[in-house]
Amino acid sequence: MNHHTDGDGVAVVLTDTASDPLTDISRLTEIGRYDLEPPELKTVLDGLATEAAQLLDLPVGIVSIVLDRSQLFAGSYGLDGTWLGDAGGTPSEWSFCINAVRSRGPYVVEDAHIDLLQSDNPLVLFDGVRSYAGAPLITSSGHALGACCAIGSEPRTFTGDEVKSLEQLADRIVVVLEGYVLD
Amino acid sequence: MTTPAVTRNQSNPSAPPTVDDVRDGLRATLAPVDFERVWTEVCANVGVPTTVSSLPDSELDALLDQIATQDRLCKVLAMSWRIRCTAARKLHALGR
Repeated sequence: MNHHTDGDGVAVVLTDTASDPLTDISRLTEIGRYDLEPPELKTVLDGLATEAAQLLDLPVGIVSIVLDRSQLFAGSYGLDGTWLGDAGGTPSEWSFCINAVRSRGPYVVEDAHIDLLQSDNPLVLFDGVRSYAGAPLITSSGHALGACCAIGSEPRTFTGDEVKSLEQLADRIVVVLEGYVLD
Repeated sequence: MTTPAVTRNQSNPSAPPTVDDVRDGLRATLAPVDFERVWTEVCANVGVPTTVSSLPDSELDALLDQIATQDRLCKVLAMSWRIRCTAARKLHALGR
């Protein structure tokens, strides 16, 4: 294992999983630079999640910050009254958005019931997720913090223009988030 | 549009994390000297022994709160565990 020093002067270990962006120490430390707790930020991100859903005419939109073992719904639309909305996130194993973070590009599932990776995902089996389009939130320092996504309960195709519009929205979300860096 | 060749982890995310999970996660991420310092301090602040392997929800939450105060990396790790705890409790309440 290798060691390096993070921004707080704390020596940290780069484990064998360091090649996975999810557990990359520098990415996680970058996330720690952001103040994600202000209620006014949640309100703004809820609005941008609403925009994501409306862009693709889907019932759910989410601004997700992908952590090492879970994803945080920093902003959301369409989850009120569900356990997902109450929990404010999911374990990373169930996250579609981790794929946008890992690939650093758009991730699309047009029909989760026949998708090799997602067909046995509990969010598909029990929570009605059927279609998904997400674009990564890549900061000016190059870290993929999470994703901006829209989710549907029916199979759906996504055009290149729709995905492009989601990427443009993701860029706007990063600008908002970068206004909440702690130093 | 990209479909990366990745697989989901095969752990049991419906199960609530244990204090052992949290300790092992910290140990796997922090340098040994930092892990020992952080673990000793957070356990002392919560009032539990460093060898503890099971805690009620309230004390596990308090432990995560203490971890979050250590530094930015620990704040993110604690946030990650807290979401797993909350999700597992919500799912348990739903009978899943």
